[in-house]
Amino acid sequence: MKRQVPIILTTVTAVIVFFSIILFKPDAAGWPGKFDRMRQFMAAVMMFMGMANMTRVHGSVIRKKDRNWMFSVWLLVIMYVYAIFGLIVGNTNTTYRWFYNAFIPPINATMYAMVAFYLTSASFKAFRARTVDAALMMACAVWVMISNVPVGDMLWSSESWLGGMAGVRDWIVSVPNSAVSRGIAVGSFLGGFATQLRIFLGLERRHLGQG
Amino acid sequence: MLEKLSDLDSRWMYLALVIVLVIPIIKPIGMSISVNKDLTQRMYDFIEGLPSGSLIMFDLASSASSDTEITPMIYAVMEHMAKKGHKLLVAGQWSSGLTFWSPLIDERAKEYGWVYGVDYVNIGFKAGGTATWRAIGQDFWKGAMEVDINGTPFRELPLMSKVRKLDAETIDLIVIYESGSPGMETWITYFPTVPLCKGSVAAEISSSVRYIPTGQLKGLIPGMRGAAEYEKLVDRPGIATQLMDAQSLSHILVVLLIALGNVVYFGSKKRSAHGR
Repeated sequence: MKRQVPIILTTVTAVIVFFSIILFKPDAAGWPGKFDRMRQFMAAVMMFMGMANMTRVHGSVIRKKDRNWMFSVWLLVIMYVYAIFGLIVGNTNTTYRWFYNAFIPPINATMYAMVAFYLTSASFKAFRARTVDAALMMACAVWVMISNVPVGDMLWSSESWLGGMAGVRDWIVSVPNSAVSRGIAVGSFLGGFATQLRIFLGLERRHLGQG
Repeated sequence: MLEKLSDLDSRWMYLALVIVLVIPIIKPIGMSISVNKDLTQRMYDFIEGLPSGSLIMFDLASSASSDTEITPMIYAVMEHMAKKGHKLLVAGQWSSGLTFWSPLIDERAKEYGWVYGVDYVNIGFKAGGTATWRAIGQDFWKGAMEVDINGTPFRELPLMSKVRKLDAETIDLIVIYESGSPGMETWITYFPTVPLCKGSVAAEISSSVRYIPTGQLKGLIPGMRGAAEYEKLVDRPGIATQLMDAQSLSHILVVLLIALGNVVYFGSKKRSAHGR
């Protein structure tokens, strides 16, 4: 029972999602629309599932007083206080919005801005032409980086032969890069499709904690 | 010397980066920018070709972390829309995108004298991912819960009376400002008939360009450079144009560091080979 119920639930859910996708037409009425409503409902339920899971995981960290357990307390307090506050006052409330706007965008921007510094030191310490492949990649990266900024135009103008640095960059980005990127996209789609099929048929059970 | 360089403290590099970023912002060099004809120019031409009063939908699929790249793109496209008299519908697949850019869009809209509900509407974030967008595609009002970002019912917003579906007859163009997933795949997969353009952060360009030759993307603003190009096209230089000098110098710094790192690497390799 412990095994069958999750498998049945997964298969039923997979069937709903699968048919909602393949039967979709922008102007479709009837079942495809109903499937979408089911998916919307499932997405809403997922939020509660996520909260429950976070509580379980971090609750266990707090109980065991694991390393940095105080951050788990902080996480749960913020999550519940903010969610309950939002449910009470509504998401258009000025104070509710202020908390989000005052904290998330600056933290988000700071985190991303810091990457520029790590990238600068990594360019010195890690970006090495150890092999021919690495050297080729490095040459392309340097070319694209320089041609992406006005200094590239100063070195080799886009009005001149081959469209200048920018012309060569456009070729790199739109021909070899696009070919490889399409290959990766097709490959990852096939991988995803195979995994989906396995879940669909009940063969994939790792998400249920089984091998 | 090489040994000293190989142990170079990262903080010197951080300092160098700060210097090359700050100096051109304080005292711009003013390097000229050429427009990318395959990407930025295409997007400009597409919007230019739309008849006045067309409805363009913004999808803010990004967050505050991409502020420097996305904000100038939004401003430049809004400038173009204001010149052409287009209407704007603001939406977002990322709640963080709407939270961050909605006040900035309102501010700009005020400058253009746009009336909320008549010239532009912000429908706010609608939870539920692609399922919600597909529901919106079938019935815009029902799918979007019939209220805008402030909880105002659609029936009180005149612009929304024309927006009953999400299709090519209703929406003339979707412009997605994207820095990750979910993003343009939602539109390419489920709404292939609605023309799509993209404002992309630099890191996403390589995975987006492949949609240009296929026509799935009508145009693309590639990163901050693209934003500066669009500012040039709409003849209103803004923050992206100002920041291009800083970006130029920071890129040069990174290239120099890569070169120096490799000199140190091959130098120490040679020395250890001689030592053996």
